[in-house]
Amino acid sequence: MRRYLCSVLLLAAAAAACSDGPTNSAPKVAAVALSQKAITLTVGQEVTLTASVRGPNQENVPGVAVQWESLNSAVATVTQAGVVRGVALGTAQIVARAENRADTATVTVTSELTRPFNVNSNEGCSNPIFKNARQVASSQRALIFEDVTNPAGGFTAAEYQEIATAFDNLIWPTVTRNFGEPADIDGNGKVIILYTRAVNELTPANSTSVFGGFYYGRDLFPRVANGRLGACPASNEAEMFYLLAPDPNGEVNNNKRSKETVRRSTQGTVAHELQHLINSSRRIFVQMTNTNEETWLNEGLSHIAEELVFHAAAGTGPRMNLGESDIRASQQRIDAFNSYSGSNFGRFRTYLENPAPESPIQVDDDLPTRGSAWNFLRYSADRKGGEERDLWFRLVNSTTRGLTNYEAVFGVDAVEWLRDWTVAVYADDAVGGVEPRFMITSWNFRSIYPLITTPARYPLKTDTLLAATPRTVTVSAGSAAYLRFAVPAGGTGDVRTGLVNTTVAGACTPVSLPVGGVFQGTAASAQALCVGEGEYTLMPFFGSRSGNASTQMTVVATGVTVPVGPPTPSLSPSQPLFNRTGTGLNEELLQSAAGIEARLRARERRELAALTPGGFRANASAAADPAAPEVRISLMRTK
Amino acid sequence: MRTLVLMAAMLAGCTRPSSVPPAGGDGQEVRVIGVPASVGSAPMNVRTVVAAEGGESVYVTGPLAAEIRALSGARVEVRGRRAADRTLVASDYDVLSVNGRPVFMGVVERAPDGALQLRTRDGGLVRLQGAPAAFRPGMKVWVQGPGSVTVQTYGVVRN
Repeated sequence: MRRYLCSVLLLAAAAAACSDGPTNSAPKVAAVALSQKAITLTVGQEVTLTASVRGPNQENVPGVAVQWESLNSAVATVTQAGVVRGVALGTAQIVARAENRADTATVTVTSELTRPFNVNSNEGCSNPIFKNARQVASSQRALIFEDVTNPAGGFTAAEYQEIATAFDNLIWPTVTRNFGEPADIDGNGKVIILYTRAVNELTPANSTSVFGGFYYGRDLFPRVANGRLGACPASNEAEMFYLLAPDPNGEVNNNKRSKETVRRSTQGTVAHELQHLINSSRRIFVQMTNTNEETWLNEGLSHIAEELVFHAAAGTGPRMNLGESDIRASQQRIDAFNSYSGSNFGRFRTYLENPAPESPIQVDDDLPTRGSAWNFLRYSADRKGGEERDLWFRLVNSTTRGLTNYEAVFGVDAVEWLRDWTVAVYADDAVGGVEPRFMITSWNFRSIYPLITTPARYPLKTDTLLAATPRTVTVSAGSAAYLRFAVPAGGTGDVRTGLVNTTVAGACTPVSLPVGGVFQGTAASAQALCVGEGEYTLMPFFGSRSGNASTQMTVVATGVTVPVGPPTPSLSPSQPLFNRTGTGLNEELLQSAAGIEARLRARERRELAALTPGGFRANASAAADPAAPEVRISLMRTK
Repeated sequence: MRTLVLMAAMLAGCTRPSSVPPAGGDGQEVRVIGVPASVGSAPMNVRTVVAAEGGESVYVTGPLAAEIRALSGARVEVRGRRAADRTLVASDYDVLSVNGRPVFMGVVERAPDGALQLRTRDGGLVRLQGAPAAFRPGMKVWVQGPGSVTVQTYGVVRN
């Protein structure tokens, strides 16, 4: 990707030369450059070459006709549009001429298509690690290659063809309809899917997580600078991505991967990587932007792609508030959930289990960030309404990135919607009477999570405010903490949120809420609130746009008691909907989540240590300060 | 899909580039003021960019790139050497503000009395009150807060 900017500069330089105004004489053709110099085809296979016609300063010369010719049409033919077709085994030269200049590509037609791919996942444009791979399936939109060094026990030719057909019929149309089509730099109109042990090798022995596949932006760039784009010598020059190979015997790092496991666990990965490919290639070749999308939004959109394919496979759609009975309605829906939605639920679960230190907009790409980014985008599309496809398309086909891109597409204040989303994470399908802006209308998470979580529950972490017991919380930018309390009949609860280790002084602001009602204020306006009988959840939210910032605040309550239970009757399942191992949520996901859980627990222990008495005390002058001005308080009555 | 390539070629021929900060030739010492971000798909394509004020984005590389990426959304000044392809090899940086307010940045130390303090780049010491439990000696952090200094808002730049 380093060459990406170089490419843009080169493009810009060419553009500058062009846009300085008309000239009186057409530039002379100095060179013709073909998009590929060496092509390998099977009989009947086609690939489209493009010819760049350049002037003496490497500028593009428009309007010059290019003549195409095959020097051995018995082996390969070429049309005047540059479409090369394999005819018989052998070698042929394809020549493109413009005025008195020409370039030549060598076409090799073979019976079994084998070609080398650079599978180095650590370095983009240098130190290639080549693996030979043979083409094992082809469809209108997919070319599937298999690394010849893959472990034994891989997919059969028929199984590969099934995968290619599924790509054509389900994934490609769903993802491209929403995000647009990728570029076609190799001229074959297809995406290459490479099953390679190089992906398996990324997961060490005894790991609690597994690599399913990846997309590498280097492959969109030419090996040799072509006047439009800078050089990436190790590029595979193809729209492609890399997937986990079956390894039933655990040849690679003793990690056993059955065919069934690989098939199931990589279906969502294909949709995911296709969005990345589309996102990058449209920015490079269509939008001409000079950077990629921000990581949190890029990953969130790829997880949306997985969800969209779920709907296509399940025969459902967004804003249907899908719950247990909806998924259980058919085996088709259960299978679709396990293939395309289970992972989103698993990642979001890691956020729910400890939301305060995590956030959708964090710089890292860990599971809580990915899960919450998906959920925030899902919430946003549900709340925005209208044609959802237009939102996804505009987010991908943008010249801006991150929160700026988000705000341009949704036309809202991102921080305000992040705050409302944190309320929806608690309130949706749990508290009656809430406004639509506190709902996530596509899913009934409170119905589904108890069926896929052990113990059965909606896994959102909440804490209880105890009377006269200061509670210090640390909240990341774009996220919230959830503090529950009750006020007994005839009583008044007084809740004060202020600077860490301080108590806010002064009178409190009376707030009267119906069940489902939400009061929202700033750190200054909501630092001391009084409420009457009921159960409540206080949600301090940190509205900073700085993705790695956190803020601390101390909440002190008086006149409160412990809430008696969940906001609605417990939604324990009558029977498991999905197997919790094996054919349910895929086991790799559960293993991965287990690792994350361990990390979160360690972090939680550190946070709890902050509550230990005897720490520093703020000086007197700071005692009346409110929390950071970016802090926004939401207080919801839940009963 | 072929249309995309043709469109790209058309755009390449007809779009004037914006000004490119930092100005100067390859290898020249330059500085950029702007807002960092992490871009690209994870894990293979993640890079650090700084959206320069009054200009376009600059990729940041070098050993400090991860620290600068951790300052996503802050306002920073990055100094270093301009590379060939709109890339800045960072040799130094400062955090100018977070959420519009100045910060103290430095390395966490433990004072003789056991309290945590911040050693800033100019050698000064800032005693930290209410330090988060996550703070450990050796960490590079920025902090904001009243007094000297009650840690209200913070970010970890390097663990």
